[in-house]
This record gives sequence, C-alpha cells and structure tokens, in this order.
Amino acid sequence: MKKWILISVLVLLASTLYGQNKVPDIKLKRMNGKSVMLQDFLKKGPVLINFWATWCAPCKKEMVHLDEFEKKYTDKGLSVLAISIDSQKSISQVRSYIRAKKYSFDVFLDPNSQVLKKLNGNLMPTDILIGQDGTILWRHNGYIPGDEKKMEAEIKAAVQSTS
Amino acid sequence: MKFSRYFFSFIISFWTTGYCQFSFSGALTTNYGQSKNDFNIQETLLDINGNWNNWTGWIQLEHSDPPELGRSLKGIRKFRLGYSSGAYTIKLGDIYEFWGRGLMVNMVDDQAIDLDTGVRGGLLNWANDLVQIDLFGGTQNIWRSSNEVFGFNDRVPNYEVDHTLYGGRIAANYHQWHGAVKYMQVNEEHLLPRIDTIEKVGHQLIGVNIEYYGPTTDFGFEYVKKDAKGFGFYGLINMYIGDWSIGTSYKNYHFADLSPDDRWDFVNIIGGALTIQQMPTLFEQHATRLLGRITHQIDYNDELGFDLRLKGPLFQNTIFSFSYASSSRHKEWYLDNNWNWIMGGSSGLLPSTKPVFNAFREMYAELEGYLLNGNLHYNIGSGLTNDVTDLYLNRYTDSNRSYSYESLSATTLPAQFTYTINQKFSLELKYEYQELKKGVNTYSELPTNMPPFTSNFLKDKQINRIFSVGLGRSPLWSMSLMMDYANTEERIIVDKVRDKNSIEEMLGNLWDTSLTWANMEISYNISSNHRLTVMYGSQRGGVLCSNGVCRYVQPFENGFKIGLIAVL
Repeated sequence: MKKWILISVLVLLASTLYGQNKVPDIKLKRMNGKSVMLQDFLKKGPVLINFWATWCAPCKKEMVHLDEFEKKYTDKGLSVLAISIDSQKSISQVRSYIRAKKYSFDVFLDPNSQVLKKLNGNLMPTDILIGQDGTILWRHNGYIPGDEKKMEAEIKAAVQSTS
Repeated sequence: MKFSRYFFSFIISFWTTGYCQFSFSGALTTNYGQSKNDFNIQETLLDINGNWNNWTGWIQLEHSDPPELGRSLKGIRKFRLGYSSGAYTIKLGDIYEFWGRGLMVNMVDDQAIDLDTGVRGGLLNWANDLVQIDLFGGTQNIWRSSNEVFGFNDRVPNYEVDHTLYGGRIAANYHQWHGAVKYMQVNEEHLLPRIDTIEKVGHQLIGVNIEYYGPTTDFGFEYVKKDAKGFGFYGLINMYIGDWSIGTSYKNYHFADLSPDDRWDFVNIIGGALTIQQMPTLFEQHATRLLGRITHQIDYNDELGFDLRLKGPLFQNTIFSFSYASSSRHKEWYLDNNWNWIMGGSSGLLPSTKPVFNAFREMYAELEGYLLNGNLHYNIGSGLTNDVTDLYLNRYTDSNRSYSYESLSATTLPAQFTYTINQKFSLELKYEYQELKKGVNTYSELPTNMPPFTSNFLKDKQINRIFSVGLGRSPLWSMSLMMDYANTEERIIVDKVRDKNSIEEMLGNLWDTSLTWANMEISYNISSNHRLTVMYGSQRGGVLCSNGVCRYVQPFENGFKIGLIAVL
C-alpha cells in the first residue's frame, strides 16, 4: 500500500508544481431544485464560494460579512455563492434563515457534501475565492472575527485583476 | 480490492501521461490521539481530485489503525471517474446521490458516526432545463455494530449486510414546480448468525415527489412504497410573511412493525427500512453538546410525527427561532397472558403523547443576534425534551393495568457569546446548563413494590454544565479551555476510575473534579491551506448523533490529539 500512497503524493506534488489548480465546471443545485453551472457565474467575474450550514455557529457569524461583500462588489463582477451542506434533517430551514437575515446572495444546496468534497473542503465554514479563469486564488477554513479583513483584501485583488 | 487497484493504476497512468494539462487538487486530513484509557487514534485520509476537459476523477486513500470510529483500513477507500458532455454525465466508482428528500435514495458518507450509504457502481444522467433522467446500479456494503453478533465493540462495527442495487428516476422542472417518479430494486444478502445462514431478500421501492417553490410559499411531499406493506410519507409547507417564516412538516414512516424487544435488532430482523433511506427526522439538529447528547434516535421503521417552526427578526440584528417536534410509534404494544408482545391500538394519523407509544416531544427556542455596535454576537437557547426510549412492560388484565418504560426528560439552556475586541482579537464564552432526568417509570393500578421512578443516575437528576472560554487571533490562531462537568454519572459506568489530567487536578482545588472532563485546544492556521490543531486533556464520552443515527462514543481520558488539515 505504501507505494500507492507514495505515487499519489508524487502525483500531487507534480500537479502542484506543473498543474493548474482550476476548479471543474460544477453543477450547483438551487433551493428550487433547478441547477446552474459554476461557469455561468465565472463569466461575470470572480466567485466567492462559501460552504455553510444552519447548525454551524461560526458560519452564521461570517455570513453577515459575505452579504456585505456581495453588495459592495457585485457591480465589479463578484458573485457570492453560499452552498448549504444541511442534510435532509435541516434542509427545510435554509430558506427561512436566509429570508430572516435578508441576505441577497445566491444560495445552493449540497445535502450530501459532494460539491464540498470536490473542492477539498473539510471544515465549516470553508471559503474559496475563484478567479474568472477558474483558478483558485485563495481559500480559508473556519472563521474567527477579523478574518473578513483578509477576505476582503483577497476579493479586492481578485476584482481588480479582472477589471 | 483487486479491481480497486487496477482502477487506481488506470487513473494514475491516465493522469501522469499528461499531468501538465490536468488540474489537480488534494486534501490531507490526519488525526493522531493517545489517551490513558487506550482510546488511541491514528487516521489519515488523502483525497485527490483531478479534472481534464470533460473528465473528473477522485480517489480517497485511507491509512487508519485505528480510526476514531469504524474499521481500520490501509488502502483505497473511495474512487470515482466522471465524464460530462452537454446533457450527459457518467460516473463510475463510488457514487453519492440524493433524491427528493431522501425517502428512497440518500447516499451519505458521514465519518463522524461511521455511516456510509454510498454505492459502488455507475450512474448515467441526462438533463436539460425541463427534464432529468438518472439511472444507477451498483453494490453497497453496510457495516454496523451490534451485540447480537460475536465481537461487539461500540467503536468498530462487527456486522455487514451486502446489497446490490439498481434504480432510476425521471424528474421534471416546470416554472416553480419540481416533480419526480423513481424506482429502485435492492437485493439484500443478510447473514442470520443464529442459524448461520445467508438470507437473500429482494426489495422493490417506488416513489414520487412533488415540490412547489413560490415567492411566499413553498410546499411539497414525497411518498415511497416499499415491497407489499412498507411506506414512507413526508410533507412540508413553509409560508413567508415579510421576513418571518412559519412552517410545518409531517412524517409517517411505516416500513415494519417490530415489538419493543426487536425494535433495534437489525441483525435478526429483515425487511425494514433500508440504510440508504436516510429520511428527514423532523426535530431540531442541535449544534450544542448537551442537546446533541440527548438527540432522539429516530426509528425509520415505525415513526409518526410533525414539527412546527417559526423564524424571523424580532428587532434589528436579532433573529428569533422556535420549533416544536412531536413523534411516536404508530401502534401500542402490550404483553399478552403468555408474555408475548402483541400489537394493539393505533395512534391514528397524528403522534400519540402516551408513553406506551414511545412518545417524543421537544420544544426549542433561540435568540441569535448582535449587540454593542455589532461587536458582541450572542446565541441563547432553551430546550425542553421528553423522550420515551424503551417500553419494558405494558399489560392489561382483568384486575390491573400496568406499564413500565424508560424515559429521559431534560431542560437545557445553551448560550454563546463572541466579543470582537479589535480587528484581530476576539473572545468567546460558551455556557451550557442541563437538568436531566433519566430512568425507569412504573405505573400500576394495584399497589406494587416498584417505585414510580427509578433514576438511572446515583442521584434523582443529573446536572450537566459545560463552560468554555476561548481567545482568537485572526487569521492565525485560536485557543480554548473547555470544562464539561456532571454532578453524577449513570449507575452502570460510575465504577470506572478516571485518570485525571493536570488541568482537572488544578481545578480540583476548586471543586470535586471526579466528574469533570477538561481540555485545552489550540488551532493554528499555518497558511490559508494548512491548519494544525492540538488538544490536551479529556473529552467526555456520550451519544453522538447525525442523520438520525446515534452512536455511543467512548470518553477520551487524559491524552492528546493532533490534527492536521492540508489542502494541496
């Protein structure tokens, strides 16, 4: 087994050095059951993907800032996509939470965490900033108050490089 | 395993022939823990995701001996190759699909409770804006822990059931409407250890779901029929009035009628709900520890219930949430003159509140918001729980009426405050308080020697308190000290002698820490892609629930855990 792990690590190292860390064109499911491709948002500009859940306290603290960024940078091409990993247990509470908070960003569902795993997410919340060419520019796990400063700096750089 | 290796070799050679054209990414999660009660952990997961034009690939390698929960593995855990072009998608390998609300197909991989309902096989999907068609087939091996089989261990599953599955779905979207019809055939190979025979059973499931998603209302239902008698129904309606929402859901899961003695025996009983049917639970999914430990264990074979939810802004920056959940079994079970369990009267279409129906009720209210110009975030909750977990006796005789059951009732108050000191530093305080009564209740019309209530604890009720204080320095590190305290423990585990750690010994100068579990944790973000976590101390054991499945997790006594998450 060790040789398989070694091969995998070498492949990863090679890919890190020579490959491009681009996201695949992922299908995202809206709350109304309809699907949309990630590429559709990337056509407009950079995309900030946020994985969250209604039972995740740090996620809720972070979302206030995501809404602020969405309002501030949407006319510069930024799209904020909040992907809820709520399972069948709490999926019915997603829409009511978003409405109560008056958040205006797009919300999607990933009830068995398949999109999260495709983007190598492990912790909640996970934020991934994707450039218009599909390259992952920045990512962050967890949330401590103050993290939004770094996030905004990354978003600014992303929208400036696009314009 | 051989197939896995060939598949793995194929993918590796496929990628390496032209790696510079590919996009790769990966994630490494490793956990190591050593404790004085031998709850040692050594697990590493390596995920590799790749994509090239229309192709995607995923491999997950595991090296665990032993993992926190589950069986040790050194090798390929999961793999998948996918191809998408236009309306078509093909997936080969380990697939995870979620249909409707999960009444028929809900493939999840929840390693926190060692629940994996994924299927190894293939999926063909064709979709446009209006119609979607899915076909899948494959095999599934479900591992679970049971004391009905030799070698029971609450950490390592000891019983396997194999399934071969194939199914299909046609779904349609029209304006705000979404609907689907679906079918699944499952062939089960079920080992009956008492007679050492493998029973082969076939199951057929047919289902339909319809949902409407409007600007002020959404509603929907899902119905699944399994074999001749079993069925599951779930319906919900949410209404939005301004920023407020009010909603209710209803569940009626009836796949098997099992006596109180057989209710949780998935080894010797065949024919109930399948593990792939992970259905909505209709009670609050609690994020706080004390409420999480008393989560109701849903019986997907026989449960009837509803919930009511209300959520909205009370005043600026404050959200109020309220939920009420009620459920029970469909029918009363009683003992006849020969002490055999017999099915009795039905509770109708709504859940019963009588203990002989294993009634469960929970009320939870929460306030979440900001104060002090947005610098103080608070979350204060209050929960009332009543759950009849087991029915031991229920008899009707000419001269007497008697019953006996085990129940828990709890009042829980969780609170969390986060204060942002400045742009870098923040302080977090968590406090949870719980009064828990758990024991056997006895009722008899005639005088009896049995007391009406016998507590499972050495005291009449258990008082639980959790206190945690943390300091965070954005975006680099955070540290926290957590104390989990109980005033008494259950009789069956009170004899265990604990090995106190140095934090508990220090606190021992302030109070009796024989039932205090304390630990300190530091998380450090080495970079935006690497996070290191170190924990020293003890963690109290207890029930861990997710997706309606609960498992008992052993305490972690006086040791350390190291975790590393790296995105490559």
